[in-house]
Amino acid sequence: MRIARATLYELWRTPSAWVVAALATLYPLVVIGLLLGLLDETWDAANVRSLLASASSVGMMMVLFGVVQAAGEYRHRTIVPLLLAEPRRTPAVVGRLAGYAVAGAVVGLVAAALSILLTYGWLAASGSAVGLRAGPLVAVIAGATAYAALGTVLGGGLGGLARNQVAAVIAVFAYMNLDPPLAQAFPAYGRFGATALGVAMSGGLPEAGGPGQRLLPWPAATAIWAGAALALAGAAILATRRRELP
Amino acid sequence: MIQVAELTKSYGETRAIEGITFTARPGRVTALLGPNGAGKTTTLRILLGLSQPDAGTATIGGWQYRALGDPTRTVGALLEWDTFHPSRSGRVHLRALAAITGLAECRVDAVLDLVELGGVADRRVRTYSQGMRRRLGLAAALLGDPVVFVADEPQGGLDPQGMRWLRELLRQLADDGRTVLVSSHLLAEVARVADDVVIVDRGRVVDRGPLAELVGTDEPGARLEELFLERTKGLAGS
Repeated sequence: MRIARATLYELWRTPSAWVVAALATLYPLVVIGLLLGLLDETWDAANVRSLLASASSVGMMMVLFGVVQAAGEYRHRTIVPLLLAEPRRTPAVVGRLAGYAVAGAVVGLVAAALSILLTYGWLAASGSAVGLRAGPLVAVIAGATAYAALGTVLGGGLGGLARNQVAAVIAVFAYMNLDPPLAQAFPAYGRFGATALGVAMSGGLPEAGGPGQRLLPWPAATAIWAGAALALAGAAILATRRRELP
Repeated sequence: MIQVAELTKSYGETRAIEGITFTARPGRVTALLGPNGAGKTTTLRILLGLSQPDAGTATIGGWQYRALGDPTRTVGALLEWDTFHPSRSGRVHLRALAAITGLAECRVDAVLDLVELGGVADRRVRTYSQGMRRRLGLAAALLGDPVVFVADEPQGGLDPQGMRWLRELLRQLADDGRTVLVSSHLLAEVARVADDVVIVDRGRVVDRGPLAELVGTDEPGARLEELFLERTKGLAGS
């Protein structure tokens, strides 16, 4: 608990963490703004629900956030004072990841709330008054928050495993760009890709997966995303326990 | 008390240290001396739980570092001169460490004053000189007011005033009854502060004992250099 609190304090006082968090928050707003501005859609309740599910894109950016923070521990050698202060490595890594998860949840929550405000503000300004029940709105907020929190843990695990910050960031960027075309090229993969899992978790309608593929139900998507995050976190813990710090 | 017994460690085919044995006692400054690559840093990293030995033990008060209940209040360690996030301030670095270990925030101000960094504590670390970073590292090591102090080449990056300040600090820590273990290859500097020396070369202890017994009290710096060169040269030829 102490390490999680200290991690949040460090993030709060680290300008580069604010920059990445701000970019992560802006990213879904840009996506939603572009969709609202460029698509010639009739914005009924179903379309708005799919649009709002784009708020989950904050989660992939928070994967990047986790990678930058965790791999940065090795880049800046701050792992040394951490492990001197807490030589039991499992609690040390778990504490860090818990701090990242809270940071991810906060950013996800803010991004989801801003996405809803942007969408409704835009539609109201353009005279398209669309009502949406509370359920889908809660799904967007809860889904994007959980997706971002777990994404930050996933990124933290990946960064702790890779240690090379630049290589890890490039790998995540590459995946972010490859995931959508891969999903289109291989429908069997598409619904399990990170982007589709985020949309499914954030209340996207099943048919939002695109032609020929349906999104997973949100509990299944959440279980898969949480499983991936926990698997990488567990691998990072095991690697750190065995790792020599030269 | 620090006790190192038969410590052995290899990296692949390279034997870094072999059978290192020595004791560092409370109230004394023990200097771990050796040329570059002699195994000083490896020994300290094992002592501090950052690396695992192949054989042997390294304990502090009878406990391995990883088993210490409250490591920060027991051991203060300074290993590398730059283990700080460059865009955080020195104060943030120390506050985070204090938060991790449950130390009161007043300790942050106390150690900042002790290392004379109070005036720059809110500047980002990337603006610090090497000597200032060294002092920040010392502040972090002393945050828990530990009874054991371990430092790897603590003089690196310090100017003459800083060297004198560090010497007085090490002396004070030992006079307070703490166990002080520092590695170095600055022999003249060591001779001015060390009570006991352990000389290592190529991973082995080649001499150890109280400084006064090994080199006498007349020009200890020059005599220590002679002893050091003699001992390390001997093994190099074997």
